[in-house]
Amino acid sequence: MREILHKNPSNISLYPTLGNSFFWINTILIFFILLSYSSSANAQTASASTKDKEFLIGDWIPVDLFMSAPTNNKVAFPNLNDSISETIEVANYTPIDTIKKGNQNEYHQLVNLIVFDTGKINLPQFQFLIENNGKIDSITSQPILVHVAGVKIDTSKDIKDIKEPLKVPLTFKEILPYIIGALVAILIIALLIWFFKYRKKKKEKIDEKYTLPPHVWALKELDKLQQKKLWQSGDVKNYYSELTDIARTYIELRYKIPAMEKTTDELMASMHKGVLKQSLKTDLNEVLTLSDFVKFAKAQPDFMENENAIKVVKDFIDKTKILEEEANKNKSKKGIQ
Amino acid sequence: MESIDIKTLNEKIQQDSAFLELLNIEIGKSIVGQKYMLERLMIALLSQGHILLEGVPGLAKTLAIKSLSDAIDTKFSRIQFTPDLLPADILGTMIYNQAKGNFEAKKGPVFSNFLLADEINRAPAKVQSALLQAMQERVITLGDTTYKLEEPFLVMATQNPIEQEGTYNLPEAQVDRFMLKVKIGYPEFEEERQIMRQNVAGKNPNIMPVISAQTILQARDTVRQVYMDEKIEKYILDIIFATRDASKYKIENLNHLISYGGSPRASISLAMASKAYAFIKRRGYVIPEDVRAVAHDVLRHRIGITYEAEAENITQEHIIDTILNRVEVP
Repeated sequence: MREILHKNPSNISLYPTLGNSFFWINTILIFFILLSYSSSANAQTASASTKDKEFLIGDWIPVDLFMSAPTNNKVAFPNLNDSISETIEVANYTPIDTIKKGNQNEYHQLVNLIVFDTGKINLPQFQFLIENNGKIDSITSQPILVHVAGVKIDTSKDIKDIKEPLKVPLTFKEILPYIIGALVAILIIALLIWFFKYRKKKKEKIDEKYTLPPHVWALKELDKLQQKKLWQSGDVKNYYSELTDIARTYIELRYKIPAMEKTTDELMASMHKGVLKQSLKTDLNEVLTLSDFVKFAKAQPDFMENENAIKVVKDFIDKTKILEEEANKNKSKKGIQ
Repeated sequence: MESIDIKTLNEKIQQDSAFLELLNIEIGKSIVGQKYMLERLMIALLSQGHILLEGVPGLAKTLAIKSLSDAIDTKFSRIQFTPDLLPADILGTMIYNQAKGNFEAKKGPVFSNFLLADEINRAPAKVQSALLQAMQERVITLGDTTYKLEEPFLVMATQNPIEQEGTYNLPEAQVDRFMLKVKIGYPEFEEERQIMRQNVAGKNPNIMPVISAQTILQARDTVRQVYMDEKIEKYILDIIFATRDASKYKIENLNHLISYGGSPRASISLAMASKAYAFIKRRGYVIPEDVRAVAHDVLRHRIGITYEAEAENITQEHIIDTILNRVEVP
């Protein structure tokens, strides 16, 4: 119709009459224009705007996305991703804020953009969607022109070093896990040290029996036994148990007889095969027999017997020990042979 | 040095064991040598056990048992085990009494104090098993009635190791009920000369009862009182546990040779036999020597050996020796 108006302007009657059909057409047209005007008062509008137009590179550019639509319309704001283009990124955005004004709803959303470019930058257009009675329409905002300036460098001054990150004071809550972790680590290390030391000590103790000459080890153990003062404190049974254990172990190491697995009679029988003095054997036999009485028959020897028992064992060890010189002689003899 | 409890006990034992001398003299009239076997018979008798004697024929196994029962004033029965023997032949049965019109129990030879089960391995397992209840619980059930066996009750069984044909090996459950399994060896040269002379001369000494059953029962009570220190208890348990898991006692080379070790009954038997041995030696306390003295007889029938051990000709004796030589004496 606009084409007709342009082509034949002379055909248009400026004064239409009632009987004229053109009059009715005009009337209907005016009615629709008025109707469209009245409806435009409740129309959907959308915009994107910034308060400032000047920004520094990397600054947040707050863009206010605005939309006004009748309350019965459903609206959708632009879907914002992390970045809009290669140089424009979305830093963050607020939730959509709705304000009701009569039969209109006003929607606001603040979007912070960052521009990584300098010069005059056109911020992109934003597209809003509206649904009215099942019909979907879209409104696109006007582009925003902003000026993004770079950081001015004062070339007259020296180049400054990069600034260190700012130090923020630590809170207790932040350091608590580290404290707990450190304590646990210290505890584990302490336990490991104790375990290895204890094991080493134990090992040393076992090794000592085999590393030291039998008589040195046995006399050392007898001294330890004496220091324990077992029979003096009434623990006679343990005193004799330990005493016989030391004596048997010495015999085992000295004569290579499995003394720990032999009874007293068996042990004395196997000792007879050696070259021991009869008096030594008799004394030792008496102590071992007395020990058996204490261990298995609840015997309670008097203090003289208790004192004498350890003396007899010490004497036995002293008189049967292999002296180092002797041992060396034997070794060298074997070497010569 | 004084030890009141043990001293009193020792005195009691000296008194209560006096009959042993008397018994030995009386049995010695018919049995020459075989002291080891007679000592084991006494151990079984004093510790409420049963004994299985194994040895080739002609070693006076039966005669020893017969002589022991003759020397003690008790009832003696002998059962010759044969392949056709029935459980009722041992235990007895219920017989119908026509006059009274009811069933009456006809008690078998098991109702005695000393039961000699001669050549026990000649009867099948069902007959051997008939003795199970009697040996363990010392009661016999005939029909609906359970009869308590009179004490002392001792089963002395013999078996011949060389004959395999027509014999039935004793099941493990049966053999475990024997406290001791004693292997009898040949007598010494001089002993055998004496046996020969005695038999050639046709002397059959008459064994007279020299002690009563009550004496045995009293001695049994005393045997239970023999003091066993916890060190000895541990030693016994160490030996038994070593038969089950030798590697725990650093005897790894035995593990593959043992299929099963001693049961808890073995621990009990070893403890009781050790006490009885100490009693026989007139001691009121047990020493490791006592345990070692009876260990072979208590354990040899309670240790199962593997095929590997059999292939290597390793016997239970070897295993027990190894264990005794490796387990620490207290």
